[in-house]
Amino acid sequence: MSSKQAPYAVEMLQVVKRFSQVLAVDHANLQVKQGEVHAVIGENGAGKSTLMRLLYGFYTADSGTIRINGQTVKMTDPGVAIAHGIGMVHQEFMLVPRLNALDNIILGQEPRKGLRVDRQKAREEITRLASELGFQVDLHTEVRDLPVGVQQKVELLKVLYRGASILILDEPTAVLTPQEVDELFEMLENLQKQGKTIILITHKLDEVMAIADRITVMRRGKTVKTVSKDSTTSGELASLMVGRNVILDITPPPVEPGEKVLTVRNLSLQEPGSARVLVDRVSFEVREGEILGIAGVSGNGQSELAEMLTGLTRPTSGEILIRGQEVTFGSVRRKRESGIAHIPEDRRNTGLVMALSVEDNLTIGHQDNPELSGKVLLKRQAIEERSDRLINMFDIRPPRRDVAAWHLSGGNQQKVIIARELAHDPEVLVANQPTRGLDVAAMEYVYHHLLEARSQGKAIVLISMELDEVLTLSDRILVMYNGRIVGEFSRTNADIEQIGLLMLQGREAG
Amino acid sequence: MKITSGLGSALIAVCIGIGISLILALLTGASPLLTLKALWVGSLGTPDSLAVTINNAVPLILTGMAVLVAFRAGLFNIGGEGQMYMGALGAVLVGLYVDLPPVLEVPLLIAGGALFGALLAGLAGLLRAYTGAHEVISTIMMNYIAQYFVNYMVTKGPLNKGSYSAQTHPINPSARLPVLWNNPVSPVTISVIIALASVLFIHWFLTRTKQGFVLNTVGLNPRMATYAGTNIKGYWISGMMLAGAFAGMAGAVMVGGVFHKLVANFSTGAGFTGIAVALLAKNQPLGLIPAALLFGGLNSANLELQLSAGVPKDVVLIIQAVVILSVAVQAVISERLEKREAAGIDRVGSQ
Repeated sequence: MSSKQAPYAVEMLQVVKRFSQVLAVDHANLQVKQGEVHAVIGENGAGKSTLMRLLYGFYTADSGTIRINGQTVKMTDPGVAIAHGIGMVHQEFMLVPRLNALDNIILGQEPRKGLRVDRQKAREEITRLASELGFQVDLHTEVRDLPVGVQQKVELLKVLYRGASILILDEPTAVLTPQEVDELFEMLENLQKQGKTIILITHKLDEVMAIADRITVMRRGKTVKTVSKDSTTSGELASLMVGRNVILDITPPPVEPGEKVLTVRNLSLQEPGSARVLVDRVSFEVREGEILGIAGVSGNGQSELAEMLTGLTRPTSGEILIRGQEVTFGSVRRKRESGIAHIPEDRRNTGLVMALSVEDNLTIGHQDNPELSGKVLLKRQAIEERSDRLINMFDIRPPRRDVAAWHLSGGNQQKVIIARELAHDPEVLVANQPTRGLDVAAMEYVYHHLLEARSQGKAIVLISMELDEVLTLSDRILVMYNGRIVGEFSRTNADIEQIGLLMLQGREAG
Repeated sequence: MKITSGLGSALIAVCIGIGISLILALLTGASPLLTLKALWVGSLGTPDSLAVTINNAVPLILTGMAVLVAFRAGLFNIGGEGQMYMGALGAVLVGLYVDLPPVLEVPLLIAGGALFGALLAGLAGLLRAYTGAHEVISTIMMNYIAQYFVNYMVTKGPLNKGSYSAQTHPINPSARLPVLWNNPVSPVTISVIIALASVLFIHWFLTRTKQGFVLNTVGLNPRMATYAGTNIKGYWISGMMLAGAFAGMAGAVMVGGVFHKLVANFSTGAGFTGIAVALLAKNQPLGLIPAALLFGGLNSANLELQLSAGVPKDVVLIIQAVVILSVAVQAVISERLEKREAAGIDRVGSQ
């Protein structure tokens, strides 16, 4: 069938890439027609960037086939990809800040005249490329002095200068102002008219609907579906992107919420030294025995919210109250004393001291507890007994208090953190990405402990990029987008399509 | 467990260092056997050389401690030299202007040295905590400030004894450190006890006390310490002050135990050698004692090596350098091995 038509510009079949424990790309398939704008969409961590890096030869696939214009190619390094006409504009630009735009573009591909670099020829060539796309770039300005939008154009020119006919753009709009986005899209249309094939990685549905011809949706490393824009809606795309994969069939036992424990009113955070608002007037309440889930694509203010709740970041304005007592601007210590415990999102760098033993890690933060120390001396025996008790209670393996934390598996490291944070009966537990990178067994274990804490009447704020997790565990769900709460659902009325749309574009209607 | 393996690899490093040096000695025309003998005789083999070795080692233990304690708080204290100069100044002020019975005056002299050293180092900690100025840069710069300030005080400044010599008047006899072993070449004073007690104190502090436990956490992972509710800035400042106190004590024992006055440019670089001593000790307090004895012994053997073995004096410096390099290389290798081991365990680890 395909022999009669023009071959696909890019064809990736059954491609697999595994990073130690994580299956980043799981038998993915991608077929991009020549001359189309093809969007690859998915949540953070769905595997889009990895898939593109496989195509660009940045990583080599463990198995699977890659064909470029019908020809099977072994993508071993970016040089191979470039030789086959593939160019990639990275999310973080690969430019030398102290060189001017011209030198950045020709770097590594300098036209020569004898021993000298023929800059005149390069300049003419680049000016021609730019004018075909309908813009001009000051080639003599050092790149560090150019606005981000122009730097992106330089990056694009660099790729075109190398003769790319298949362009990969990784989240190109993430760093642009709305006006620059319009310019970029215009440019992409011009490129398409010249017959270039464009692959666009994004998680913004608006952009996809504006510019893509066809769309491939990725979820958890798999390519879920490829659709053409005319036959889909943003609602369908949203539910494909965030759609449920029930891994664990858990039904939380009914718990009657008790008294109000945590109250947050109009909590805001402005980025220091800029006008950017990271968290925008967030308000909510959490009661005893209640899990409040916060859903959202990463980078929409959830981490900042967690840091403000736990005292790591000082809010710009607003209020945080624990049982009516104000702790808004309190330090970490003050917040912990008022009963807030915290499972941090970065287990290895924030949650643990990897070089210290399990015992030490279970003790840090509790060393002032009068059961564990006097004014100066640590009560070694009490600490050892407590560690053994916690290791036993939370089933930490290996069951030894003297091994260094980095000897433990990710799941057991997380158990150490959970044991430590729940050990002293907190009022509020802020759990940020509590199952990130864990396997199913460890995940189930974490769920079990969160639900148990709920049964014991703790107020839990669960922040997760995994919508499944939020939907499975939460009594109520808030959706965060651009630092704001854009929707609230109860367990019973949670609608995945609505939540998906709110997560991805901040409003329900397409 | 960790200390013994650290000791083992440190011993290997020392052997490698001496082995390479013997080859060098051979190349310079000296006999390896005579070189070994001179090393032994010059460092430990006679009562006199033993006394010199001990007296060399005492300030090195203390300046090594100044590096170790700061390192445990996650900071690099390169300012031991300057802190030692300030400590000598603090000590000589007590020795000159306070007249008390020895049982009070001697501790006061040591405390004066500790205080001045602590204040200078604390300033670096303060700058790090509140302005972000890196302690490596600030302590290096303070070395010059402290050394030349002290030199000024004893040459043109108010402490000059009035002749053309760059030194102060002698301190009160009651401020001199009591002598334990009256060796004619190099009398050994209670500074030995001060150094050993400091080692034991810090060992106890780091393993048994709440504050030592937290200090360790701050040094290993400041982010985690913050998350656990620690005021890490406070620990940076107090950690630096504690570190500086030991370097200051090194200056104090030089004034109270060796010179009995303050002399311009009195240091032979003990503040800097302390960095190497702490490195060789793998930042374990108990390791400071053998490490300082090694460096003190090599310095002590210097003369003997030149006289009886005909080894150029630079060879001693080369031995020291090779030992330090071996330790550094070993640290890198064992770190890689541990990482590989950890990765392996990660892979087979299960719930």
